[in-house]
Amino acid sequence: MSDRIAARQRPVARIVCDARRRRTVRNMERRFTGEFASGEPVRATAVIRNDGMYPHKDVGEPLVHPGDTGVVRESWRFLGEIYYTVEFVARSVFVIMRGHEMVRMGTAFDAA
Amino acid sequence: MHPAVSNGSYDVNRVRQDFPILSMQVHGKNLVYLDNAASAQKPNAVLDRLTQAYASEYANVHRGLHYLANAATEAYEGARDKVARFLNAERREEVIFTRGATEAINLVAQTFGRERIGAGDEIVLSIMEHHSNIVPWHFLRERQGAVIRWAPVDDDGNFLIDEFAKLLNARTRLVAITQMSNVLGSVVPVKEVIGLAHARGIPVLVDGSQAAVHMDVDVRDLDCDFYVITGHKLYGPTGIGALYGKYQHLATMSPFNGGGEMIREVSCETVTYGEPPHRFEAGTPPIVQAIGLGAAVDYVQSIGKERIRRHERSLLTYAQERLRGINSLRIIGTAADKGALVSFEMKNAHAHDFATVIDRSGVAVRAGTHCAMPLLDRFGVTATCRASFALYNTLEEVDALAEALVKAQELFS
Repeated sequence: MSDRIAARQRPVARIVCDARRRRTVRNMERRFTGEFASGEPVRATAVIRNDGMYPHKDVGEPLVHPGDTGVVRESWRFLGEIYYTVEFVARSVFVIMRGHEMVRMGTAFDAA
Repeated sequence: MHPAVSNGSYDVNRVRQDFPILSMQVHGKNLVYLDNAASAQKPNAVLDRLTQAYASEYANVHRGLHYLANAATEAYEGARDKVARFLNAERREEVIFTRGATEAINLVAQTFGRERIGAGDEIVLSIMEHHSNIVPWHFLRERQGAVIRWAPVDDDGNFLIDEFAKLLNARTRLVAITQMSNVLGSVVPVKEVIGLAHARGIPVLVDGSQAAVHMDVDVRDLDCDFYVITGHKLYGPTGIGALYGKYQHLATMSPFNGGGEMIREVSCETVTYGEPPHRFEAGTPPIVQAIGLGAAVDYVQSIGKERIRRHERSLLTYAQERLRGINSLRIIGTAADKGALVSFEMKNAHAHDFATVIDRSGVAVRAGTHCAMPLLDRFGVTATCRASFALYNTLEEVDALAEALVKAQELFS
């Protein structure tokens, strides 16, 4: 995606903190550009299950668990939504993630 | 939640079981239906609902004093509620049932448009519009003297929003724009389009015929003035669509068609009209079709658009990869954000010819102008072949398409 297009397409990410741990849910919308850039370390906040596209595990089996750490390898848009291809090295998988399913490591949003 | 996705998976084979037509054979081959942007197949949930409505709930709606009339009215108005929720409309009265997207756009053109657009006034369209979002505005050009201006795309099919912004001026009275091209698949950033138009006080109609099938639609978030959908692309019946309009617009618009249902009082000398939505639903409405559309909306939502998007993205990625490997094909439309369809042409063969050839392999695609002649002119082609994907298509079907095209290529080379 060119810088020009990326700059124009400013998505809104919803970051949801861990409700069970904090007993409250904080929804905050935060405009960002360039967050979750390629090469950035992130931490998963949701269980991502195999929807059938990953051939080495059964359908429905978890591929990523909350707390797993990975590295953003690519971001792209599909049908107006922004997606990230994230490599979870320890689990040897590349998983397509949404912004609300992960947080940047080492930031105030990183609950781990 | 649909059982095909209940454990976080996307079991496409389970989804396919819902669509009886997909198990048929064509020319002795398994049907590979890739003409979904033209019209999608129907799940049992819709087919059964249509049968049930005709078999046990059917009568004319509204003002009925008997059991069946009340049952039909409840189901019909219930479908309006479902569509209102599907679009996140503020009020159910903002949803008007029409015969389809075409009628919905004509309704706006001949009421809202005709009352506000005069000689020299400008209507901005994108070059990617379907004829259904072009010809109604040509009517205003022919009859009212309006001027149509065209927002361009680049050579990849990306919508050029900066160029669009330059088209807006003091004479612009309306923007009518698709959210997703039916030929290129390009997604138009309509929220930005609406923001730019509204900053100048210009209302916006969004043609969601393609987009509403695949994208989450939130008319309040978009802040669009009108949003149009059609039922048959959304796994629903033919003969039904819906127009969303902000209530403040609908309340001031004149009727489109005249007849029963849409009036308050009629005398020999005068007539007064009902309130929206009934003001715009003259005559007996498409009762069962609307009920079927409601069932289709329920079906799509039981699977979830996010899951459908992920599945369709996989199909698109794989299809582009396979088709790029076929030397004689040229893919038209490679926008940064595009939906799950691929338009292409084949060297030395007309799209109609090789579409007919691959039909012998059971592969159903569409070929021609796709009701978008200005766009094809823009790309310097007279016809393309289009493979368009839906929630029930598989990677194996992409392989079948590619293999059929390789065979056709050998025939025409």
